[in-house]
Amino acid sequence: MLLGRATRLTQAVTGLPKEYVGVMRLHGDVSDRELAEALTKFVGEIYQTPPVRSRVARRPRLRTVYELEVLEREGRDVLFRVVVSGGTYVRKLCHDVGLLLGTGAHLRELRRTRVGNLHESQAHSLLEVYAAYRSYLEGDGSWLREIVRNPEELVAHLPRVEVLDTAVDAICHGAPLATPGVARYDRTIEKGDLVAIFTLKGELVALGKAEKSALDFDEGGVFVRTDVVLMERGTYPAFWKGKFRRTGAAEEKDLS
Amino acid sequence: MRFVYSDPFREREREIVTVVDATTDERYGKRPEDRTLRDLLEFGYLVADKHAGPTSQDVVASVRRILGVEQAGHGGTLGALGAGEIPL
Repeated sequence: MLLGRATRLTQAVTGLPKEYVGVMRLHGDVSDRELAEALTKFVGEIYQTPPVRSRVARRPRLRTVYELEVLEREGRDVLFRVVVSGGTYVRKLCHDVGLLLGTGAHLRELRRTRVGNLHESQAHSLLEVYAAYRSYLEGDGSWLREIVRNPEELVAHLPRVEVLDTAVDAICHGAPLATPGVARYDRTIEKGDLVAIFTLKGELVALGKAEKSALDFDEGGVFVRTDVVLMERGTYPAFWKGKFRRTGAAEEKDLS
Repeated sequence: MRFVYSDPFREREREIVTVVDATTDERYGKRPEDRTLRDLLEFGYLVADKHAGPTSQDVVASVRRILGVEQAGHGGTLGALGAGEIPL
């Protein structure tokens, strides 16, 4: 779960590839060979129409099934593991496998085991969260610290740009990042990429879209267009406001 | 039976270019490793284990109550039937 301002990271997380383990119930008898033949049709890029009970428009969307494995079979119950792109409905996948087999099928049980680089082993039960919070209130925060983590970890997979202190507050106000504000960047950034903007201290400032390829960085101009701001305004002084340039750095924070 | 198309979790190669070797003013901001738990409750994440039954929203509501945070959300829904991690 995303806490506080980190809730703005939803967009970056929902799109991550996910791994699930589930049980599919076939509505008729199917041989291993028939099943294998049907499953191969669902590996790779597939079109999927969101189910009736979903919050998005019901038009076919291109999704990717990266991996599909049958772990065990017991008659009509198939225990499987699947790795899919964000936004893929596993329930729908099972239903469609059933249609192709001609018998019908549905998803009986499902467990998500991985999201991006977060594994099931890192998950904490609500009871644990509760106990850890109690012990934090009683003076020992070490357990809660293992549970509540830095949001920067969630965007570690994104290409990054590090900006100068002087550029931070303007970005917090939604300004695009122009090349003079950049201290470091990833040379593999391509135009249109989702990019994470960091301070030189390693704090996440914002997410944005690359306006140009990193290979064209030397042209100058806008490099990343700010999309979602994570850092609170005023964390860094507003160097971009002319009136602050004349004041001492220490007072600037009080003014902003 | 196992069918593999590609590995989406494979790490992309990165190539960091330094434009200016600048320093940062320690008076502003805070290194992520120096954040207090209070900071993290306002800007942090956790991976909650969800059991079949409650919805993702139910789990978020519980965690919000437990931790006393005002703002919380999840990064991906699992239906009431689904279990597993709700990241975030």
